[in-house]
Amino acid sequence: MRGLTPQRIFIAQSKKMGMTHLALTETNGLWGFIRFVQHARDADILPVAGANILTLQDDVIVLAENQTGYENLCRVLSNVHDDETLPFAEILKQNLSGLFILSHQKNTLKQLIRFVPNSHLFVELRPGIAESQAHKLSKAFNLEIVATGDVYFLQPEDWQAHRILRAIEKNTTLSQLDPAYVKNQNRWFRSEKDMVRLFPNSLDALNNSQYLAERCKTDWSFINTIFPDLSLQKTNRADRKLRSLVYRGAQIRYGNITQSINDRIEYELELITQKGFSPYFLVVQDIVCQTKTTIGRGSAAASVVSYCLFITQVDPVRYNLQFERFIHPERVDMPDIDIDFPWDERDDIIAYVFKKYGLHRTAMVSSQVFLQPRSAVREVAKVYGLSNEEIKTVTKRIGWHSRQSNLLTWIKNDNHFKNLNMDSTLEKIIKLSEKIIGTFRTSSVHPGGMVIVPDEIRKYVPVLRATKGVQILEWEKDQTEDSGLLKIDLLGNRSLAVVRDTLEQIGVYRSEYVNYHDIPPVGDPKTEALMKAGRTMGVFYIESPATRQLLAKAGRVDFEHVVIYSSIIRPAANRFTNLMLERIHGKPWKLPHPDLEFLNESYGIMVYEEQVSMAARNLAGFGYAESDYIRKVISRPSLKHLVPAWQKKFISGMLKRGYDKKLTLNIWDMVQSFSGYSFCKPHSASYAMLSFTCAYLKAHFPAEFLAAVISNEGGFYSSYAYLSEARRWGVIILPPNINRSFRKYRGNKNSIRMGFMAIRNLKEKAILHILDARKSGDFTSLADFFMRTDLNLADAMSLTNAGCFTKLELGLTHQQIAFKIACHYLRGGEGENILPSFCNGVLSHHEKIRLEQESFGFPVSEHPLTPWLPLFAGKIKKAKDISRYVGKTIRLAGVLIATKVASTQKRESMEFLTLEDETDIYECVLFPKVFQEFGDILHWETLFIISGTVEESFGVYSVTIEKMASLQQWVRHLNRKSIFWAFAQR
Amino acid sequence: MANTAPRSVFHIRMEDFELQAERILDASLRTRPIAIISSHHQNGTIISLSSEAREEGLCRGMTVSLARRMNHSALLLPYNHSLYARLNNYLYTTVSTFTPVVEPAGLGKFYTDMTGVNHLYKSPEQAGSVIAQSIQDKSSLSCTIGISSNKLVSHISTTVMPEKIHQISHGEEEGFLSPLNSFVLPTTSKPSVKKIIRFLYLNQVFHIQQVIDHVETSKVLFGINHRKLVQESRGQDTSVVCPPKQQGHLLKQAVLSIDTNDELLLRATVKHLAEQIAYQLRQRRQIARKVTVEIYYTDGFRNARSGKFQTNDDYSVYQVCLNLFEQCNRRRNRIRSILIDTTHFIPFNLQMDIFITSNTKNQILSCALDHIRTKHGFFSIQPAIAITQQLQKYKSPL
Repeated sequence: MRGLTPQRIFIAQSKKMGMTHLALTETNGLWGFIRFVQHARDADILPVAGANILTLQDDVIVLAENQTGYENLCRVLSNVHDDETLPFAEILKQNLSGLFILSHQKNTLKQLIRFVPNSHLFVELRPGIAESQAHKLSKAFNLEIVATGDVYFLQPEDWQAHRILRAIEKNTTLSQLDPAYVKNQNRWFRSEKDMVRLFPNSLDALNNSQYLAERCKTDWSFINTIFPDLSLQKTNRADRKLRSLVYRGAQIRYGNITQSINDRIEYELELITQKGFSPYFLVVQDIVCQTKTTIGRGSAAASVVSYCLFITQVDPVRYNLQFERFIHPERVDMPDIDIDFPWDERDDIIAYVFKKYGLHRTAMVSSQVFLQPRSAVREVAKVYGLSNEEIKTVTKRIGWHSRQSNLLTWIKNDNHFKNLNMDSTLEKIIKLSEKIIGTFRTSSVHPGGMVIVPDEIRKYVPVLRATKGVQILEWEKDQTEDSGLLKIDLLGNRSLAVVRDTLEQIGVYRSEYVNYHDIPPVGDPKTEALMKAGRTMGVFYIESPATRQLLAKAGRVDFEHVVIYSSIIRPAANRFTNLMLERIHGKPWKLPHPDLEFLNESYGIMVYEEQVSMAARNLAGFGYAESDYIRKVISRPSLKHLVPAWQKKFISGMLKRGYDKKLTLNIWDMVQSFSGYSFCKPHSASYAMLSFTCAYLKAHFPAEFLAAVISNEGGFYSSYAYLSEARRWGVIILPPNINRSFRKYRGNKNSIRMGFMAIRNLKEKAILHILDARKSGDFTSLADFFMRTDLNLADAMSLTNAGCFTKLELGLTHQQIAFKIACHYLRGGEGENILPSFCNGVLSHHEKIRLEQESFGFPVSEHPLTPWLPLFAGKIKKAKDISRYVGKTIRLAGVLIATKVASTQKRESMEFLTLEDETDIYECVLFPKVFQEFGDILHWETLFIISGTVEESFGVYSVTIEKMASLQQWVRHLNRKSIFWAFAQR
Repeated sequence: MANTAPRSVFHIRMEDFELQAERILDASLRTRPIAIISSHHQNGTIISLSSEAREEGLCRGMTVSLARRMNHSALLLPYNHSLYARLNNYLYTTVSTFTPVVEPAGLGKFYTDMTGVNHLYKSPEQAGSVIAQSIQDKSSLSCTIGISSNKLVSHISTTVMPEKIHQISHGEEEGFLSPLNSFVLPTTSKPSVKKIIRFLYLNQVFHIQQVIDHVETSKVLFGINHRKLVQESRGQDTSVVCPPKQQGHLLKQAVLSIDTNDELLLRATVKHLAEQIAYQLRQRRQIARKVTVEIYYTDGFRNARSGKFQTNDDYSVYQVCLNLFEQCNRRRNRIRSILIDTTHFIPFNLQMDIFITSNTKNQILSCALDHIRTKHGFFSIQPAIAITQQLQKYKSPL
């Protein structure tokens, strides 16, 4: 965290100053090099690759003379990352060729002069170094002087922001910041004139800078894709192997390979071979083979080759997925293949890849974190010593996704900041925050991006070790892709683990194991009925309240429609959802223009990414590359700055081709709804297939499926909500049992046995120990349990409170079991436990519920609303009956299951709630006014009493809340009222 | 001959002391729902609250952030220690008029041993009502009084009994405790004991009394706490009521007029405070074996570090204080106030050095400054660092 100004601004400024070359010399890295080259090219500036290498002893500038120099620069930087204590000379010795070295330190020059030719070694004259000193060094070592800007910020006024950045990195205050960590005020971006003024006696040095820049490599090209194998012989062998694997897979997938399938396979293989893609496919296929349940997603799902290799699970021929979305003859860049693995197997898969291809060929992609408005304000405020409370008063209102750059003006004028007490310190903080927005903060590991190269990874890009120990590239995914490195995304997916675990549980009581690839989910009536009813809690990708409602409202749940729903559920496309629902329900519609025929499959609405590209090609007259790029520009937040230029191009293209303005703006409106994130059709189809698989499992094996959903955690809802859902499916919930429970929840036909993982405070080690001890047979008594296990008292107490021993010692009360446990562990396992006479208390129902609440976080034996039911009689309606009260205002009680905050077009906050009572689950809306009044309760309460109007839309019911209260407060109020009436009557 | 007659120990407890104190200060709070909070920080908790606030769902121990979200009408007042301390001192004086043996037990709580003065009143209850009336008259505070033969039972009595004055006669302690919740016994607050009591559902003192009758079992369950539980559950307590011992303090505090984390200004402040302490120590010819530097941050956090002085010249005292300050100030937050507290004084007799060392020089220099300060006042001469322009910004309350 040193440099301040974004690359684009530096480049624009250098262009204004008439410069021809610009070198990016980031500290110990090429963190933004690809982006720099792209921006420089756009501005017609020649980009030079370099780095400012800082080790414990040395501070040098290294520039790449040629491709070899670039490769050596990457190696040097990787070595510096490996060990910063090594002297630079030692690191450089092995990787000297093609590098220019500039240093202003006598000791460094003294070491380097021994093996670096003086044509490649220079004395650096940078601001802060006296000219006389540079001349002295030049004479002493007989080296030429090169003047550098050593730029860290654009203008002298930015120095304060630079200090702030340093204080943020060093986690200190401005007054405690060590001056050695801060660059002085001279490190601003100077024009040639300013440089002459700064170094009046070193004009040679200034000229040398130009000469040196001209000697550096500037013609960077990233058009070549770097495949895992490059040699012709290997690629040829790979082509043949791929062909045989594909046909073998096709035999299994299709049985009878028809002519059309054969043609498609041949067409794809030809293109793949042509582009040298075979080794890549084989690498991916090899990785996929490592586990049973995977799903290939992204555009790769459009390939029949991927389908036959079992990389993807959707038949592209049957579902009409266009291969051109994946590989197109005209496509310059290479698409990657994204694979999802069960979340708990992903690390093993990554370890396998590292082991197979070696650290020298493999690395994970990094994630680069930049300061955004909210984090910038928070960090600067911390430097100024503001407390968390003070900081939150501002940052809470800024919001996570805010991308404002004129913070001060925005804060001063926006209604969100109405009552903000803006003093001079806060104003200063916000002004400084504006300056550091967009600054590189740190890099971490990308969730799953991996790169495998044919030879040595360190020659393409510097690598380093992430905090968690894995080797990562310096570049994030976009730069990695743009540099030509082929990325494989190996991502963790919880639903795949759910599918795997469900199948495992079914396998326990069924003679034959159900194969993941053999599940026939599409077209299954039970599955479709489940989806139509919107009972998809736990089902991958379609379990959120919004999607459940959409499924129920639409009433059409064939595969093609579910693919559409998966794509249209995105924030920016909300307004098109209702339009689509109306059309599904028969409202007459026609295409806005006959040229938009490709929208026929999605009711005239743009839902897939490729439809954006098609619109650009068919209507605005873009070429293939351009139409593919506009899709990227719209959907990638990092390319947001290019949107206005492409909008102009798109609109003018359409107008030029004679389309009327209204249609043009209408189409652009649809295109813009893809901003943020969006999917291509193959991707949606892949996900829809997994949704169908999950829905199939839920429809046929609800106990096993929901047990797997809870066990794998991380679903949209809490464990409690899934257990409630299981009850609604008629499944019985059984508490943990020392002989019957496993670590995870286990479903068995019509019951779910809670796993040990449900017990709070029970350590993982204890669970494994119990399961290990149980391998030799069930525990027969407490004495047997004591003998065969070696737990501590805390774990034994957790097991006791969770009721694990109740069935083991049927003759004993809870208190007696607890007494035996306590005495045994406190005695250290010695002596006999004789039950004293006082120890015979039986738990009351209330105590039992309290124990369950403490052990699991929710009651198991009864619904949380049960204790209140007598109070509800006659006053509160049941959720299962709401359809009878459409248009009427009713009162309901409910447990909060899920919430979603949204905002209206006027940027007013509102909230969607999912509640349940003991009869059913129901959806509610808190519109802005009501949200403002009652929204706060949602922060601290989970049991509610609501009053609202029942609404109906496309046959789906929801409640528009008018009033709501905490159930406990309502009951207290009720009691007060009854006491008052009792008193009055007396 | 030892006096075997039972003692008469009173526990006087002001109900919701902090709340009552605030309501005395501001009459408008008497009908409003209010809660006293430990700090405005989100992790602060409610210490005391009015019944109106309780009705609105707030409770003792609730975090401030939750209380804020839950309730808009209740007034959350910060903990005003100086007000409560002053009122507590006043109450101490009031209670002391009835017996010399008074032991303060936290704010608004006192133990008194009335054994020697009981004959002045008709009965212990009458003595209690006189004390309660006196407190009511002099401070408008209402209190509850527990009377028994020891501190433990008197204390428990004020916690659980609704009556203003309740007496437990000697010999009835065990019976009094039996039906009460187990957690009224102080030892049950120890985590190891609490855990077992909750686990075994020993809900009442009666259950504990049953367990301790099985000595072996009780020893296994409660370990070293068995003995204490035996005494407590039977209502036995041998501790005596001890009036407080006076402890000498020399403390200086600076409250910065503008909260800051500017190191220069903070060091200057420390220097200024350290010099005042050193000057007074030299006047008293003492050094302090314990010095505590406390920092109060704007967000309510407090950090403190302790050390000791070897000598009392300005330089050494400043170095010790600065060192402690730097150890203490590990946060970036702005500081509102710095306090230096010295205790455990011992005489300091400077031994004459044969050779002149830097310590001797510092001592001589400090003595020379003292001469000037004694003649012209403390602020007549100061080092440059202590009179920087920023330093003018703070006010010293002490």
